[in-house]
Amino acid sequence: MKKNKIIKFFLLIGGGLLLGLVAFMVAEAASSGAVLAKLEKEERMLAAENQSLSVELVRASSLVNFEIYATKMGFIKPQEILYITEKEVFAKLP
Amino acid sequence: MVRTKLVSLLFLFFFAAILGKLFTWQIIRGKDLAEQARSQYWSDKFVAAPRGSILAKDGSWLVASGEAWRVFAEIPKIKQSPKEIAEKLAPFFVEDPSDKKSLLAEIVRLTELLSKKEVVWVPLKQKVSSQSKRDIERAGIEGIGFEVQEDRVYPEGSAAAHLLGFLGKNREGANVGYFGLEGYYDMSLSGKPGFRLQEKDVFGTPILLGESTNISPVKGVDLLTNIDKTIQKILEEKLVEGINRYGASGGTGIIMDPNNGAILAMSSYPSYDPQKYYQYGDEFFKNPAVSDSFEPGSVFKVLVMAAALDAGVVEPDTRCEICDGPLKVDKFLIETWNQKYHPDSTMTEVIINSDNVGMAYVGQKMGADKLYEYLDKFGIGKPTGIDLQGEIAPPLREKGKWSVVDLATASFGQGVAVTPIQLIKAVSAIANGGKLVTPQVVDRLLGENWEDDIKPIIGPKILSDKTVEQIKAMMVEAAKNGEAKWTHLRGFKVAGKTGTAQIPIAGHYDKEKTIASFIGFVPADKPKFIMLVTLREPQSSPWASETAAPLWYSIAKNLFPYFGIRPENY
Repeated sequence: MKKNKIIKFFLLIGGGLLLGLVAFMVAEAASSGAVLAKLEKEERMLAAENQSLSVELVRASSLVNFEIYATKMGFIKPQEILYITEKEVFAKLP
Repeated sequence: MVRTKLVSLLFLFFFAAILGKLFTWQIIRGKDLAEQARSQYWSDKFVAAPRGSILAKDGSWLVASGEAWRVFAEIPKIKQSPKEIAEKLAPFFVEDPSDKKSLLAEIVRLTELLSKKEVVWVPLKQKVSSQSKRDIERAGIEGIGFEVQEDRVYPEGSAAAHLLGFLGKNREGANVGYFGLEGYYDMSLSGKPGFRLQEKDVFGTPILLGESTNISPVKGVDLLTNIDKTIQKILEEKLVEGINRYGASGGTGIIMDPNNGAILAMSSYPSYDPQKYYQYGDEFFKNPAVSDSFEPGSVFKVLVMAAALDAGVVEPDTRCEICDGPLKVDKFLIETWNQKYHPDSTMTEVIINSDNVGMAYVGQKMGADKLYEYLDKFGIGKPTGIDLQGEIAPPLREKGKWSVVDLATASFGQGVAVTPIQLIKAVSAIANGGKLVTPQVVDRLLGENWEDDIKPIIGPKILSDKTVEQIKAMMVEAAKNGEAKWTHLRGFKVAGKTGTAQIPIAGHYDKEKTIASFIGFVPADKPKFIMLVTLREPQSSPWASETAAPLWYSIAKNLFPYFGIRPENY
């Protein structure tokens, strides 16, 4: 009789624990879904930012832009190209 | 007792009502409702694969994948009047908001769209920039939404538009590459879209314990081309300058490495802006370098002469026996371009003087069948195999069906049609020692974790070493002492040839309009590049020696330092 009571007690405790665990897991899964949704949103935002930075980088690497910057910095296109022979002495110390 | 019956009847009635409703939900509308329920807790969508980029030789971008937005309106959610919304949106949708006319037209267009009460969803504008999207969002207009769209970014603007092609839409509204590289490599560039199926709760939050399928998109392949941005820029700038200077209606330039067929630059004008392709007519999209044919005129003489030398029917010092005056062939009279005749001129002099009679003599020596065989070996009449969409190959007159007139005129480049790319491919065989190479724009395909090196396609040797040396020497002399000698850059060993071709119209040749071209490679002994320049209908002079040749040299002059080409004695 006493043995049955002990078994019942443990079954009750076990069942309770199991129920608690299930409830905890369901709650956890539900809140994890929200976290996942938040992470997905964040991922989309970061991807958009990455895309926009990539486009900025692409535009900045344009040769046309380089030419504009170079001109602003004082570089000019050579007007005339002079070819000199290797043997030709063009600067000589006295 | 009565009360019990009444309650029982009431229960029965409610039971019947519930049963009826359940029957409606489960049996009659079961399919629709199940579908609606599924759409509520299942979220499925295709995940677009980013389109691959097109890269220049140094890995910098020619075209990159970008992001744009489709602006749409959900009519039932709109709170303000259509006109109010239109006035708020229009400044973001026109190119120049200070242009009152276009702004007003846009307001009218938007008002009309927003006033459509019979529709729920209406697209208002395609490909709106991210900046404009942010600005519109800040305006906080209810009922206005955005959908992401694939866009292309062209850091160099409209440069190399014909070569690159553009990204348009097919009838179903899907992105499709048209023309140039976008068209030819459309499948590789497109990648493979992904798919995502996820179970969601009533708030749209994913259910972790639910079912889900996730197939990741595969990004499109990047194309690493042989295009050199610096060379492309020089070619583009100089070509436009030349077209304006000589009053031409258009022009084409191709620069290629004759040793492996790598296309270093390619440009044609008039051109278009691939970003706004929809603002141009179809005639702008065709790449004249691969899709337009022309009668090459005198530039073709080097191919015929090379064939004759290789066939052993003439030597450089063979003297022309019929060059003392016009040549009568059938009922036609063949004259030189300047009506000056050079009796007993050698074959080298025939090329230097660009002598039509001398070339007709060469043609007669060769015979039609032999000439046909060599032209076939040079790839005339066949597509070059360049990796660009839209290449054409005007057919060569069938073997055995050439008349004496056909043979004579073909000898100096009339009555045969070629595309610029066919011509440069054929002359490259002279430049590189006799091998026919296939022009190639793309050097490598770059995947996410792999790459595929596209090897140069070097064809069989079609000219002997002796022939190559002889024809090169002739071309060097032609550049130095021919009719374009005034523009020749002293000291540089250029092998080149001019060509002034008449334009055939309705069975005869136009008396005034010409296509002027110059083809040349440098240094002649070990060429680093070969370049073809053609000008359509130049107005300042019809002659190539006064238009295409100086333009060729003005481009080459800028390329010499870049290629490290120095004058001979330096």
